[in-house]
Amino acid sequence: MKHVVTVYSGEKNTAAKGCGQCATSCQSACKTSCTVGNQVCVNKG
Amino acid sequence: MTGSNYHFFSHGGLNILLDVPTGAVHVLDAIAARVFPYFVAGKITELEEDFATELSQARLAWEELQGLTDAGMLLSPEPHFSQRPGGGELKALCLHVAHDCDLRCRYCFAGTGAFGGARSLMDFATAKKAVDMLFSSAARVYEIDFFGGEPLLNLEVVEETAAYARQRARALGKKVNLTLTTNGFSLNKEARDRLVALNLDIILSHDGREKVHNAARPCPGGGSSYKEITRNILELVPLLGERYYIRGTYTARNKDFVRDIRHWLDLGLRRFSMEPVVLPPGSKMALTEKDLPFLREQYWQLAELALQEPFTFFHFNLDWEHGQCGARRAAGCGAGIEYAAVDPQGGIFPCHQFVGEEAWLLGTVDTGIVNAALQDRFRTLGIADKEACQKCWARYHCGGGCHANAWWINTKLEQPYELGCRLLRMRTEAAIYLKVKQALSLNCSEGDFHGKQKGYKQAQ
Repeated sequence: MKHVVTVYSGEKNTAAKGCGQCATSCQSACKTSCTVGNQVCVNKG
Repeated sequence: MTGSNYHFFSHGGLNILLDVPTGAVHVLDAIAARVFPYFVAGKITELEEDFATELSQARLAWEELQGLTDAGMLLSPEPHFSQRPGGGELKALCLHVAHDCDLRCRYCFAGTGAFGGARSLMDFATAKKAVDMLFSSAARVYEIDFFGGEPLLNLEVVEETAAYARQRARALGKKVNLTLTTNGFSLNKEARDRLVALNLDIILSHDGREKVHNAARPCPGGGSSYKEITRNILELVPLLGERYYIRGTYTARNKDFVRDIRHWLDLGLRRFSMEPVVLPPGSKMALTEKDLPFLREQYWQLAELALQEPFTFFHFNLDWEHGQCGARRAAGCGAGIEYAAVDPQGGIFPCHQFVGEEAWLLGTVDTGIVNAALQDRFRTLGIADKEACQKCWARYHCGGGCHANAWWINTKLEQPYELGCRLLRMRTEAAIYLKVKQALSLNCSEGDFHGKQKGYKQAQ
């Protein structure tokens, strides 16, 4: 019986240096305190 | 229960464990949830004493947690990024095509549209220079938002600028995304047709229930705006497909903001954000620490509503498969570096919330960005540069927060706006909970995920 279920295995952030082409947080959709967690990678999206 | 690199919380019968640096999310059953504090503290001897009657299961849970740790999905080390991804090229502009507005919103950060100056409109020559400045950077994907005040008061310049930006993007082999943020009050049939023809992403400001909306977003003479704006939005939205967001603000006067979202759903609207107002303490509409328990319940209610009805709430959009990389998340908001705002006279500012303050002037569309000292202040505002963020489990979900909010509340760019942080953490917990519930419902029977993990990435 498993006691732990991994729903999302996570980004390997240490390897993800990024291309820098994605949105810069705040310029779209809501205009105040938008968060990077809501943005999409232009290469993956 | 929170450490520097993990966050554990329980809600709705689920025990959810986030590995902060990687964003990995695990669901723990009751025994694993009880074992986890022992595991974090390395208290194996105490575990054997305290779990005497269920030791075999406790040991199994411990081994699973150890397996996740060994696989880099739990208690993982903090990554380090030496620079912004892509080097920090300018790639997004907020064009203030109108420093004027046809509403007088009570919480407006823009001084009812004029940003503390004279009411004015941007001319096309200025907008063109701004576009040329943007396109001179080495970025490949650009963003331009037509903003104000109210940009529909200068629709002709919006049309000319959109056409010019697209033509330049084609010529340069680059991509440009265009958005427009409007209060919807002037969206008569002619404006609507012209807006639809522009093929933009549109953000429509609306605060929900009639009484709430009218109290916050009156006309210049104090008259109500709800009926006209609601009608305009409902006539426009069906023509936009998914290229719209309704953008609301909640304040101390509508802390029960889920009822405003319910109102939008009843109107047939399906894509929205609802943001907490940011006002100095003491303002009548300002949110305070005392409001937080109630607001926390609102976010949980919203997550439950999202499980019952299909809609898109911008801040619940945690895209685990297509989200941004670690470097991007660590760098945070690009204001002043990758993102800038241009006022009607061509002044360049770090973002739309700094417009109108001479101290924050980076340059003009004629000179380009020349205030290097000011720009440098924005280069070092990632999560590694903020002491509060180092202790916060949500740092890779917010990137260090809004620089403008930090400045206007604390007069320190490096000190995040604490109330906003606390609201963001509530909202992020609700978003993670929602994602977990959705994932489990796709693969498992309610309340029983043991042995039914097909489709999940399992711990080794």
